Amino acid sequence: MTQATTHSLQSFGFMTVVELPSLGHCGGLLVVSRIGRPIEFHCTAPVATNRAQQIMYGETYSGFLFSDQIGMALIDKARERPSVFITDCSEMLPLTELIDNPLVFAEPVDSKTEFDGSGLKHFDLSGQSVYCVNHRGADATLISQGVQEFASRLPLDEPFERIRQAIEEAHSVLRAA
Amino acid sequence: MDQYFKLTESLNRPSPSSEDPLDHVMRADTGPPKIKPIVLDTTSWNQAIESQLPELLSSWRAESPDKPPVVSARFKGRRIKTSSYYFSETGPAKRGNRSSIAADLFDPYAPERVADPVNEERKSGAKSKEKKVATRTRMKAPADVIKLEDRLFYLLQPPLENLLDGKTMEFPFEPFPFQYAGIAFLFPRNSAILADEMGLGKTMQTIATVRMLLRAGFIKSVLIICPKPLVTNWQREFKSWAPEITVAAIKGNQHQRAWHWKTESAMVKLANYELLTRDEALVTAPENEFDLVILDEAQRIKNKANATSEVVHRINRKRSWALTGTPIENGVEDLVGICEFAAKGTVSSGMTAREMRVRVKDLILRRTKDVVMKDMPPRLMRDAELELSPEQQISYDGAEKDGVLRLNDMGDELTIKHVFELVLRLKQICNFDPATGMSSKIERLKADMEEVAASGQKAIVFSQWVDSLEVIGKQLTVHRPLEYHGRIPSKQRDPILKEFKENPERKVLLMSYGAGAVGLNLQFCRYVFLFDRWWNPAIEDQAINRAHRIGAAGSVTITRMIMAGTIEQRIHQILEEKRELFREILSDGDTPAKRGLSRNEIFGLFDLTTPKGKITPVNEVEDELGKAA
Repeated sequence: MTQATTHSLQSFGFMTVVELPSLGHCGGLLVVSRIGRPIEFHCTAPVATNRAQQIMYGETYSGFLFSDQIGMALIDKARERPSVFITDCSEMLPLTELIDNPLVFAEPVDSKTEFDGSGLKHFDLSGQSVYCVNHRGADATLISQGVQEFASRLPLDEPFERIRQAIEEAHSVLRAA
Repeated sequence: MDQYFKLTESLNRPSPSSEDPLDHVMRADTGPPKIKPIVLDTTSWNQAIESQLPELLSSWRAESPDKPPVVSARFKGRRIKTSSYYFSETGPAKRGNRSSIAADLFDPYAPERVADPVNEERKSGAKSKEKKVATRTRMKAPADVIKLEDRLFYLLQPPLENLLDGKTMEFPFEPFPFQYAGIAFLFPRNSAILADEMGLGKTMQTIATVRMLLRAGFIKSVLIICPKPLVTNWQREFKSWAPEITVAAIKGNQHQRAWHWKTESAMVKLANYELLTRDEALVTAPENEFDLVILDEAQRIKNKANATSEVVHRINRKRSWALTGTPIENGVEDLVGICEFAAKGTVSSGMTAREMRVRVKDLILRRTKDVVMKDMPPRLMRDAELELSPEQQISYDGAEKDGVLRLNDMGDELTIKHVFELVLRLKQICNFDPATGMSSKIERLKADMEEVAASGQKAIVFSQWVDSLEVIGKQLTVHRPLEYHGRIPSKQRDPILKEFKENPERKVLLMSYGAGAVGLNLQFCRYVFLFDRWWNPAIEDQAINRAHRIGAAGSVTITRMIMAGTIEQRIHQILEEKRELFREILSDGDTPAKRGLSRNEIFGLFDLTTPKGKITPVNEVEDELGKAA
């Protein structure tokens, strides 16, 4: 496992899941450079809730859907593995068991549920809580430094906004077609 | 993933009778259940339960009637369809046409420039960081971009404020949010009409976008066509907003212009409307193709039938942009003429206004000061730096040289009054050439007044000399000017103001700085021109505030005319430094210094040594100046 350093944080993978009314959940992964310019973008088709799986998995269903299904589908498509994945969906955190890359959780400012980040390296960015969930041997301090350096140019919520708009655009084009 | 479970009531419909085959499963039994693995497609789970399971259960019952079967369902991971877009390949690198400047604007791997924090702060202003947090202007693909990959390319770029920050492209000032929006509008468009009201920075938005396009490698050659008085203005604006872009003005005699058209390698060529018909063959030659052609004051081609319009339409180009503050002067037909250039076929004569509105929705961007007032100060100051006409330059150089020699020869007899006399003489030449009457300021004023009048607005023109006002009046007869100064009898003054306010045909009021008093109500005026400057900023502000007051109908655009390389520019620089110093030390507002230039500053205008003799205080000199008006 590589030791991540500030200098090696060349790219950042922002990942989130959006719910499209009457269609299902749609995942998006935007890989950007250190200065926030897009390198790759991947988005899934809407994934409808599966009733059997919902019953089967119970409370773990969201994590299964967002991480195992949607998250891994996106990550498998990425040509360039980013230095760190950043997500604003707590349901994607089970990805820590499935990937080697460091994973950071940027808790949304308007989050209705409080995330239990005890035991995790945590820092604050202009009122937004950020947690290094999985650093897989990489130095958590350096990961957090790299993320803070990125956030000094662009707020962390900004790339997620791009993903949401891109997903909306992609589906509006498909609907029109 | 294999999952073992027993069917429960929640999965099944309630059994209507004991004959329901599923009843066997529900019943507990002795001994371990016999397990037969069955792989079911989970997406048709219910169908499987209803159709397949009863048959299976029947066969099992035959084999082991006393033992409940266990059904195992392997939940295969669903294959989720994913769409992927790779921008490092589909961006400018793939499109080719890299310009000589590093096409680093959209390159994800472009090296980040090291910012100079001191200069960044000074250039961008202290408020720039707040603005970056507050506004995020995104580029959106225009309606004619159909390919999803291309649409996503624009959508997934960082906000313009980050693309254009000091680390990527340096700007002398932070653009206003609506100007970022204008750049975002122009950038992806092959066809565009930027129709912002005069004074909102159409030039700056255009230059910033041209700079981005050149640096991204999307274009290599640009032609800008404008009225002749505005050529130097464009050159100056390019120096401020895009200093690395090479700009060449097409001018000179026939051979010189031919060379410029054919050989000049500058990225941007500037031509005026007047010479297009003369150089028609050159500008429309098949080998002369431009990536982008921009028409400034595009209402000049609203009449498709005139010779200039015909030449403009035949210029070979890939992108066509039109800039105009008055896209509709007399009627919707004006817009047809401009659209014919920007996007041929979009609209046609005979269309209703409603049809036209729908068709041009994606083509035109217009903002007025009322709409963007919250983004800009209610008083918009802009400096029109002009160059002396050749005739004025000769007169000015001669007068300055002779005057300075005379002042130096005076030795101890030199007083500040002598210096003022020379300053006044030079300022008058900056207004008009004494021999020929030529004036760059008049040309610019006429061009601006065209737009003011066409937009239905009115203007006030200030000068410190009544004679100058009278000459200006003769040049602006088409706008039916009125005069208001010391030579107008008191009894006539109020009727003049009333006439100016109430008669829509009276577009301009010519006023001296000394005339009028507190109480003049000219708040309906949206444009103020300072034809020449006063010594004391406070007096200027009083003049401006006749139009710009609390409760004014809207913002006011003040144009200060300054001749570059002359005494006017030197005075302007000193006054600005004093204003800046006052602001830094005492307040954040634009409060001017109460005094004008100091004695040393005045002598410093001509690099003269301080005299030992009696010095006339500034106030006395201002009384002398006041007599002129």
